[in-house]
Amino acid sequence: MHSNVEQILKKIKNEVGHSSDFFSRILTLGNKKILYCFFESVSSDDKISNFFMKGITSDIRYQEDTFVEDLFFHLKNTIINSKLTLIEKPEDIYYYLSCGFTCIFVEGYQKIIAIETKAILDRSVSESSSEAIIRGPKDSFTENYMVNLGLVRKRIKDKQLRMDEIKLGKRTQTKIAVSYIKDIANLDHVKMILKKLNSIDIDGVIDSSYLSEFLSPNQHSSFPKLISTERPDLVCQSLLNGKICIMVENTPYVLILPALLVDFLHSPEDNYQKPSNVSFTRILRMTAFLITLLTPAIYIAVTTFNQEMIPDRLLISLAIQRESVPFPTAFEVLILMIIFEMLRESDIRIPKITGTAISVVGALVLGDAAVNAGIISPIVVIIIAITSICGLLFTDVDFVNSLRFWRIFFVFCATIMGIVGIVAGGIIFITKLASLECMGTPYLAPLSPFNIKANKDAIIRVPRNKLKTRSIFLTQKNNTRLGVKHHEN
Amino acid sequence: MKTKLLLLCCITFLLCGCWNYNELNQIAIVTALGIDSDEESNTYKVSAMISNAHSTQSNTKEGQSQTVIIEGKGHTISEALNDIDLQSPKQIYLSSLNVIIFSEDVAKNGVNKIADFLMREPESRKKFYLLVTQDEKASDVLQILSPLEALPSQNIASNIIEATNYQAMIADINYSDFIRTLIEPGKQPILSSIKISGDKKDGSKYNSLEQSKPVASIKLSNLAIFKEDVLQGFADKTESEGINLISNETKRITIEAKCDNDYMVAELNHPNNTITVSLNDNEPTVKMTLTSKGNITEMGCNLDLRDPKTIDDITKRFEKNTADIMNAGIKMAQKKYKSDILGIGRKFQKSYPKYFQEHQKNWDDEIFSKLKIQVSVDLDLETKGSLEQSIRKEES
Repeated sequence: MHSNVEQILKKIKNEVGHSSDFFSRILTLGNKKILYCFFESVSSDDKISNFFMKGITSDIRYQEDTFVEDLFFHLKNTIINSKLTLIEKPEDIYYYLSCGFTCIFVEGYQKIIAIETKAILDRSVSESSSEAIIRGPKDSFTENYMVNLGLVRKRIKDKQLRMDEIKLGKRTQTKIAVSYIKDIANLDHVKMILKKLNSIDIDGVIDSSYLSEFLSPNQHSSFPKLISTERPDLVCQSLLNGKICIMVENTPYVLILPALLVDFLHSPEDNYQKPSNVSFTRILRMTAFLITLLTPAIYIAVTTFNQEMIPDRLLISLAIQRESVPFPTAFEVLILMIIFEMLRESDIRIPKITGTAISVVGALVLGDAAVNAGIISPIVVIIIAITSICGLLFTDVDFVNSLRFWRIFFVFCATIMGIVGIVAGGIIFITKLASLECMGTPYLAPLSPFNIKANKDAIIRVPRNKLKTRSIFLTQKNNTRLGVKHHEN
Repeated sequence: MKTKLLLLCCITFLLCGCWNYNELNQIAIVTALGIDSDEESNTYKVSAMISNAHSTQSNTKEGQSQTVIIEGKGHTISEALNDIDLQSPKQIYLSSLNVIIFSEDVAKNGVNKIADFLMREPESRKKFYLLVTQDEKASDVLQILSPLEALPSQNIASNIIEATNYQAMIADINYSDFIRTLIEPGKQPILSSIKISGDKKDGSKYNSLEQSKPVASIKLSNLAIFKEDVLQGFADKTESEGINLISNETKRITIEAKCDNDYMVAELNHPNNTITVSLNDNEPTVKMTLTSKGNITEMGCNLDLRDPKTIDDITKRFEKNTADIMNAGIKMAQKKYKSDILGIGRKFQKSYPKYFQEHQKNWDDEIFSKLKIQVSVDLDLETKGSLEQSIRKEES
């Protein structure tokens, strides 16, 4: 690095390719030339002028040989609410500049002072849009990394809460925090995750989902092995259960590991409602899980192979409804399923203003006109409607998509073999699920392997005063959730 | 390895093909069969009621159906059904069968052949009702439409289910019950019979439904008495009630009794009859004890119902009349048809298997018909309904 500030400036300008948001100025302080520069786009004008008013312009004496150190300490003493660092390696300045720091070069010195003058580019904490609940905290994670950490830290004020930070992405230099509670979580798992993350050599990490593909490498299974959530309360519940959370800079979605099948049937709200109601809702979700998985397949099976399973009156009614439909039942079901998926996809992507048009087309054209035109029978519309409504009970996108995959699989089985096919498909499905594991935890735990204690908060939830221990599938140490104090009362 | 196994599983599905694949609009759902015999050509005439015909009336709602009856002829039931299949554009589908109606002629020639066919048929559900027509052709009965039920076959089936709850003369006997009594020794089968009341011809027209008073309707009637698989004849109303009381098929029965110049009526709820058999020196005796709780439902006479003595007296009269009904049934079975429809033989088979085995061959004709059967009735009239007295007494 040159010691001449003009040359330094020229070099930096070349390196950043004369970016339009690069700002620099050369001042003279005493007899020294000082260069300061920052990216306007990520820096706050207020903070910079504030720091100049308080710092550089004030009148102090500098020793010739420790000019930079003196200036640094002076700034450190005057600007208390901002981060200050001395940069030794010149190539680091680009990272700091991108982070919103202002870098100060002093003529004739190698060391560079960096002062944080970050502009707030993030939205404020708002209500979760993808995981709405009725009762419970309303905040959700944002794109701001520190805010996200803060949302967790303010809920768990434990010194054992760890947030191990690493940087990933050669170009994005994204900060990633692996968060866990040290005396609850399985440290082998933490080590494993850190090792896996450190071994990733990728150019950029834009969203937390980039990591999820590396963290659950067995992609043959379509079921997700990690939860991604934007609810801080769910993250904190998981941390207390001994799970490990991964927070990624610029992502409102936090990853939670390990994730089991029952986790996707739960909602953070389950912890805020009466246990009996929660148990009912969970059984409802379990039923919906089966309905959304099997209804189209069972419909095809009973109407094309095993008609004797349908009550007489219903059978006659179904037969008359199908009278004018020219397609095979399986084709009819498949077409409507695909159309529904397209409708769902378009509903997500479409701007809100044109949204009503889509629902009119969807409801009228599919629901009514297609039936009247004799392309599909009304019962198939009902079947697909039930299937999709039950599918909407689950919030995790990956989980919903895996349900879709298996639903089509079951339809395929039913089309070929009827009820026998569904049974055979069911065997494959359960075998597949049972063979999955997430970081050594069986995916179907605590249902299989069955554990009565862990089952207190799986399909049903017992009252909190009976919920004394954490699930042994997640953590073996420090298992007590409910202390002795409670029993004395 | 895992993937290979999974693939293997998938291939097994493909190899199975689409066995038993039937689209719903390719089947003709038969909900009722009527079986008549043609004396001249010695063939069966089978009428199949197909219920998923599309309604021709434009103003009917989606899902409403019209029934079509197709007749086929053949020396065997299979041949007749094949004949029907030839006339139908859709495949004949028998799983949803509700009712099978035999004409009297068919039943008198024995129903074994038909029963055998239906038992072998893997598709059939074995829970449908069997009925015998009295004086009518089975095909005519099928044609009668009812404004109360959309499907004529359902009309018959629900009529039976409803009637067994409230009518003493109807027995709720489905196909598998019938077959069981037919196969097992010691009891002879019975069936309910069915009649048409009103005009048969107009009753089969859809526009007859537009009248508030049905032109014709089907009516469940007395029991048909079988010996083995052959119809012997029909019981009358009292005899039917007696048979059902003895075999505990009755859930509710109303008994009339005379008092002074008028009648009083009691209703017995869930009467329970126990049959005890004994054998003394090869002399079989049978005792029947019917116990029941009941209440007075109609009182035509001027009696003081608050008096326990009167109640005792009334109870005795009802007990006698109940015993008379049972005796009528017994007499009919023993003397008229010589057919052990009461299941006495089965009791002996259980208690005295050797004795029964000795006499099994001529059980009905020689032993059963000469059995001495003692009947005793024990009633307990619990309530008098909402009135304490007869209404005339209450007034005064």
